[in-house]
Amino acid sequence: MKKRRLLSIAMSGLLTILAVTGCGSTNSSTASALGGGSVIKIGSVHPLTGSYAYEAQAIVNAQQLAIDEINAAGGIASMGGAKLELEVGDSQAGADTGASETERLISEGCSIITGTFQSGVTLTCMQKAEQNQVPFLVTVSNNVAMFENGFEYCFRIQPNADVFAHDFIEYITEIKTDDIKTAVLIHEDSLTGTDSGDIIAENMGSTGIELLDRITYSASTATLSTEVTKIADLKPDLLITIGYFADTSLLVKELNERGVELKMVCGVANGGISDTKFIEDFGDTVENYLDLNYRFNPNSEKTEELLTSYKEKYGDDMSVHAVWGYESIYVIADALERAGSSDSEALKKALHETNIEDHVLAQAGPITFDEKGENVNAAGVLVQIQNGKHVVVYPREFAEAELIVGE
Amino acid sequence: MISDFLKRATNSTNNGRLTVQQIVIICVLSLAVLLSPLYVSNYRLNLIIAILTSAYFAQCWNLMSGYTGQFSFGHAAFYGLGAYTSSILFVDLGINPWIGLVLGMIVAGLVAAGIGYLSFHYNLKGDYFALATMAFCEILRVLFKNTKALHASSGVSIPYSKSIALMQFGSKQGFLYAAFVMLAAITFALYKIRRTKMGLYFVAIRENEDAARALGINAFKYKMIALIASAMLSAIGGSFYAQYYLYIDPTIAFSNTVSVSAITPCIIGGAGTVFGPIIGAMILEPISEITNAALSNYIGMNMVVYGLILVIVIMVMPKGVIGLTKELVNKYDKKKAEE
Repeated sequence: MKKRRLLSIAMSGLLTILAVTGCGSTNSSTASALGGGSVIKIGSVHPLTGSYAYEAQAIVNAQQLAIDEINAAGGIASMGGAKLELEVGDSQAGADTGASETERLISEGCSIITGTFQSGVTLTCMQKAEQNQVPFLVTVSNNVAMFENGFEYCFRIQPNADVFAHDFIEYITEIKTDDIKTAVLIHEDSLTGTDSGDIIAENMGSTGIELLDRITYSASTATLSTEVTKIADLKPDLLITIGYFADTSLLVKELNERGVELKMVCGVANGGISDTKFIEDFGDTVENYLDLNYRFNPNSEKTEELLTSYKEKYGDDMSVHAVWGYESIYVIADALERAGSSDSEALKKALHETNIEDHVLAQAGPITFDEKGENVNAAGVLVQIQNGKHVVVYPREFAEAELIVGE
Repeated sequence: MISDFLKRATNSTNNGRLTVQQIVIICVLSLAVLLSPLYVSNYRLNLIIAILTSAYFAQCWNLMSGYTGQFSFGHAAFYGLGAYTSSILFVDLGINPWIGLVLGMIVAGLVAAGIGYLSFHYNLKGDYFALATMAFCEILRVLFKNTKALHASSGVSIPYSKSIALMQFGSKQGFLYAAFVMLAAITFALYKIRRTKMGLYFVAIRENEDAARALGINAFKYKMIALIASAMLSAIGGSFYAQYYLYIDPTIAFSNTVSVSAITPCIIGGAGTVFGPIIGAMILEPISEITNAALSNYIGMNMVVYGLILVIVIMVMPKGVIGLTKELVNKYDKKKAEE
């Protein structure tokens, strides 16, 4: 009797799924029947489930916001006012799932794929896009090597780890005061941390600051107490940290508990320091923390409008990552407009000829791609936490406030 | 009629020979796979390749854990070694991936011998052995993540080519047939082994190791054989993955997800049976694919539904699909006999 009931549960479960999938497949077939004439599909693969779900959702939200804006303004004029449509795929933070989602979106008629927030997953998806000869635009992923493969269909707007590290070296040399003589570099040991970490460790000599030690840890660690003990012993003036939200929080918590005194803390593309939630969590204790990161241009009216409309629509502050989702759609729309077609060859060619002056990014100069597909003018800015808010303090042309050093 | 068919289809005592019903099922499924490029879209071939490769990897696990009962939670170690050996040799030294594949098997076999010697020599059993395999896999992940010569965190990205000589088959069909041959070969081997002396020793060790020893079976030797063979075959799966997806890094190659993906098809289909892992893969892969595609607009729902189905399946059939079918058929027969 009991078994029969279980069986019926199982059967009804299966039936529900069959029904749902039935609907799913009819939907996609009608959509593809419409063809490129009136709807242009843009694929978006991000880790919507798993530990990066929050960031990923923000990127997808921003993409949808941009698409809604473009459609409301009449769509792609050169294609008879064709509307854009976002097709979402979930990589589940896994490379093979990401790759199969990329292929699914391509098979459902997406003209271009965007993604994916994690470098390893992005690279696997790029391989699939390249094989299928469909353009791929990176939203967020900073690994340098992935654009060294000679790919023809792949593009990236954001600064890569190399740019971050070199900008850091350049800016820190310019802003440091005389009492900052020694530094310790601590970073997580995956692709993200290691890439920039290598370059910084190599070039610290040129800043005039002595690098006392380089400490690495795994981002999924449960404690950083050994690492913090080491930092406390070395007593550096400057602590450089590269990590994600959770591990950086752990680091700061233990630094605070030990009362380690530092003259300056600076992140490099740090997922913690640049997050508004980080300030909520740590309040005064992280006042004056610095982070070298990508960011929207704080002094442009366009940015102000964007931040307001994002907050209106999603009830949340727009994160720095989300900006790249937003801008990616405008880059695609611009290329479609010039290509006058959603054909992948035409789109690829148009993307290579991109030259967008009017953007929301904190970079000097237009968005244009080099032959590898990297944004030539991509740059980082120094952000500081002042009075519980993130403000850009360097370089001057993007600065909202004066840099505060020492105390 | 149906019950008779099912009974013969799940029969495993026919003097080790396949029943006619089993042969029919195998032929139909094989034909369906081999002819699939004719009636399935290029994208859907992904799913069939996923089923084949997942069934293959599960069979590797089955050889050791299903047959000899030594549960491994770290099969990603061997999979990753296979993937890494062929990729690094190809990208850095220009060594052909086919040769790399063989070398990968050797590396995985040697590492397995080391792990096996340490574990079995000190008599690690059951949960403790499972934890040890998991630990070894973690060690490899950390090692690969931090060794510059092994590309550390950056991983290895393999240039795309269309040459069979470079193990890249040009099209989806090529990969499909390669995966089919791999699965057919390992399944045939498992089927043959089962009736050999060695196969019987394996099962004896699984059912009661002490009793098997008392009968004079060298348990250490046969456990080592199963582990090393399983590791070497898993390495092939890893090389195949690397050549198909063209990018690996330590978190991808040595992840727990990979280790688990070797186990679930076996558990669902029926561990220790020849066809269980294949049935398991045929159930699991489509479910995950379908829930992904159908529920892509309801973020996270795909995982919920997939998990729910997994729970139900395990509750309803703890002995896997094969076990449940047998049980149902027996019950039906009994009822009929009573009438």
